[in-house]
Amino acid sequence: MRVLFVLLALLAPLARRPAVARAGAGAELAALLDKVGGPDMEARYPAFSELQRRRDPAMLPLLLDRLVGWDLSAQSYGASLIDGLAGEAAGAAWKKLLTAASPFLRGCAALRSHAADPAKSSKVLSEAIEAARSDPGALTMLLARLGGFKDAAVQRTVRGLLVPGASPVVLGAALSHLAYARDPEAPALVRALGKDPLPAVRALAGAWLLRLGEEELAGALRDALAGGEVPYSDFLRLKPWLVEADHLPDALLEAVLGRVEKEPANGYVAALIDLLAHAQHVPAVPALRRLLDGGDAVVARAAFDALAALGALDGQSLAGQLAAADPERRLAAADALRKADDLSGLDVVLALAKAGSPQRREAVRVLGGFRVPAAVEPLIDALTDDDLTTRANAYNGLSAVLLMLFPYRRLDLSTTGYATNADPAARSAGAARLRAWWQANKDKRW
Amino acid sequence: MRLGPVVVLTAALLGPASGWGAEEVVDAGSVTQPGRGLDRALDQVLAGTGPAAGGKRTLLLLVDVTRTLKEAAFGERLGQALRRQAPALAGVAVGLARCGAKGLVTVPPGEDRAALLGDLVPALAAAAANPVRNLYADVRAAAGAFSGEGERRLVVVSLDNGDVEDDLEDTVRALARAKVTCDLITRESYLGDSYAWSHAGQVKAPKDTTWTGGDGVWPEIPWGWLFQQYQGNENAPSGFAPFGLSRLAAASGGKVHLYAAPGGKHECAVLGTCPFCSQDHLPQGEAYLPHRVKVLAPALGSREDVLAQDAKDPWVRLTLGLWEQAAKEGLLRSRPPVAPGPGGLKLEPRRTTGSVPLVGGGLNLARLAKEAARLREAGERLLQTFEADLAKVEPNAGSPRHRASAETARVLLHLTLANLALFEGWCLDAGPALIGKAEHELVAPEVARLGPEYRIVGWSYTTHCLCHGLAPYRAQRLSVGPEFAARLEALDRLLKEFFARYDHTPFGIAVRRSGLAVFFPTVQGKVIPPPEKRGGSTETGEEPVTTDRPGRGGGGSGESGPATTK
Repeated sequence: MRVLFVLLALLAPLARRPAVARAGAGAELAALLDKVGGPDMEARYPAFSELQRRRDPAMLPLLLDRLVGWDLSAQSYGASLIDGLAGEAAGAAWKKLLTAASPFLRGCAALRSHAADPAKSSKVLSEAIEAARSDPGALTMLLARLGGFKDAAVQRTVRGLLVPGASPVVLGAALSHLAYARDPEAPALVRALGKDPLPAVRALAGAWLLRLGEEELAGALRDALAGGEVPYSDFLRLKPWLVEADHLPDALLEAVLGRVEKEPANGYVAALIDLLAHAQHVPAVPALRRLLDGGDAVVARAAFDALAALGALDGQSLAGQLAAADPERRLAAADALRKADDLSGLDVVLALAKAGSPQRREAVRVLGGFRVPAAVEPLIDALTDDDLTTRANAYNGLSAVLLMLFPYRRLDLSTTGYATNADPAARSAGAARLRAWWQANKDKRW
Repeated sequence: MRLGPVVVLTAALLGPASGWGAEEVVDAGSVTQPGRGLDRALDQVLAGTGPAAGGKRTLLLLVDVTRTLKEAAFGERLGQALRRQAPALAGVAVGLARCGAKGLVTVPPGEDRAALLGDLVPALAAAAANPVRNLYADVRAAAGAFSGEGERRLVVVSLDNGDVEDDLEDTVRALARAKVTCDLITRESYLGDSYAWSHAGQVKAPKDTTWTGGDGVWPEIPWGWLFQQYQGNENAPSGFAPFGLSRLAAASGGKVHLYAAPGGKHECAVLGTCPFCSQDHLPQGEAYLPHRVKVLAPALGSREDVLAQDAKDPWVRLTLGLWEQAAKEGLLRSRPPVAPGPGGLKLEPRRTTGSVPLVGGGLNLARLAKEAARLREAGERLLQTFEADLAKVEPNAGSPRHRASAETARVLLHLTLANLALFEGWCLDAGPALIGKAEHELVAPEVARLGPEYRIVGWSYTTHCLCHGLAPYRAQRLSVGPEFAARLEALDRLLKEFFARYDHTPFGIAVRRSGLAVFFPTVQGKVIPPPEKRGGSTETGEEPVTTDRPGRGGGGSGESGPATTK
């Protein structure tokens, strides 16, 4: 009997271990969830990312307990966490949320339950959209989740939001959904928004109709842009519609260009420039060239990309940029030239890819695009950089370059013992082996 | 002065407003409109030329409902276009016919636009496939459906068909009899498309039809060259519609509007990925220049007339001569699709072609090297004769298009000789090591190409493109033979000249999609038993079941060409 008790005593910790482990894991999940729903906004995303990475179904009951008490932003994270889990557990969670107090959660649940019961889901979703009208934030977030979801009753409800006096934020989200769903009844309602007193609303309507080839409200959009009456957030909303349009009137593009020259916010300017590039608006070229050498790096970069897309950065202009004072500009020019089969920027890239260069990370990435023997040794050197991203860029670039140079060899760089996340000694040893191999084989015939 | 008789006589001489009786249009460049957007095309065909002298105008849309058309949002775009063009369409009877639909005409011409959309939109929503159809039979039936006086316009909308024909000239006559002008909204074909020939054993046209394809009457560029994995011209958008459709427009006084889905991105490789870039290539010679493309447009007379004309073209005679000789030598696996006959060229029956003797020649690489050298020498003799003959032709003689085909053939022969030199080198150097018949020490990072469980049974090749020019090939370690350097130099000189003339045209693309080969051993495959057969038949819908249109190149929808001018 004593032996038995001793045995039991010895085995007890083993028996407890899984429960203890479970309890420990559960506490971790709970702690992460509390961060997602907690007041510290900066802690939310890392906690959410970790939970998403784990995809642990044990999180679900803990999440459901907390979800209804969270604010809207946290509820959105919560909905994404449920989306990340597959199978019956997620389905059961959504089913429970069909009767949640929050219209946003009810709406998300209805969306996810649609396949199982289309009629009921349609009803719940339509009702959730109606109920969310008093909370523009919740309504906008729910509409954003609709995407291209197609349901006649839901579309009817969303069309009901296209009324005079609607806030541009809600209107934008509703129009996005109706655009995705290709709702055939929406255009008539959108045309009526041309009479709205708010310039931003008229602008959204004009852009939406341009997507369909209708220019009747293009003038309203032009005027609103010219007058600086389209906030950045609204411009980001309507830009995809303009990109989708077959044709944008010249007068509108001139207004966009005018805005580029007056708008103080560099992000907004970059987005406007991107639209001009997409529309291939060649008259913008002189202004873009002036911005290339302007003070703002974000705007200069956007101007550079746009000029490249417009074909206005010919070899000569790009070659000129190889001597720019800004090393990032020099790198961008070398990369742009390389994409057009002009390798004249190689020396610039090699210089910036040396150890100690502040642009080494990007230079090494760009160097990997030059599939030439001269790129090999600098890439091997970069394998021992202190920065992980630089090492990863070097590894990927070197693999691509060697694969191209030696089509009759099968190469696996990891067989040298090198790994980007190995300790420094292993990295150095691996790089040394690669260097030795390169020296022995670089002049071979195959 | 009484003008009545003068007016009647003038009208009789000039023909009705539909354009009949005035076949002065000679090539596809004259009928193909600029642009690639549906909105613009619809605006132009719906606005038309205005009501005829009698005041009445009837427009019949013949729509080939397919998944591609659905994905182009055609229903939505048509609805918007009908609205935009409402003033121009006032009093115009517009009807709808759908290919494959019972009775063809589903909405008789009238002024009820909602009925038209009400019939078309659900049909588009239900479209799940891209069936192969004989459009021409439907065009004839639609031509016969017009009634009453006034201008008659048939707008054929088909993004997938038009390259399968039963009787094209009978269709032209049917349109003439009914005095119908035919406009087309369609997609580009491929340059001198030889697909129906190169895949003769695989493509199955519907009963009593022939698969044609291509912008011209016949595929003018020799195809199937040794060591070309795919045909460059079969992957080069032509800038024009399939010949049959362009012919209908030309013969009836109509126009062709081309559509290309927006957002096309350049891809260097037809199959797989390009080893020379990070799939971020911005090629300089790719965007088509309309004035260059127009000059190279195919002729649009009847096939008989075009073939008669081509028989007199000096470039055609030389190209066909080279083709015949090169086929006899084993440098390519196709034979000329046309041959001289009384009154002009005649189309030859299509033959299933196998590979050239060199490929599949076993693993005796020393013998294969000798065979490659022999072929290369034969090719060099052919090239010398061909180039000498080309130099004797007046540059402006014959058709610019046929000159381009001849010059493309010249480049392809040069490429073949370079590939033979590469192959010789591989057989004598890298090849034996790769097939395990010569020692090769493996030092990390190099690993064995194949595991010990594989048995090498042969060799094959992959062709890489000329999209980046020849520079990448100079950098590669290609196990080259002694002849390769000279071949590469000759090719380099020729390509500079060729691209200066033909970049920004389909011929430039056709050459850039050709290239130099690398060779590799092949292994015995695993035997996978076929799935069990099940009995029973499938139900048919309102038309016979036809094959879904096959993908081209890497299995895509045929849009693997570069985005051409907007």
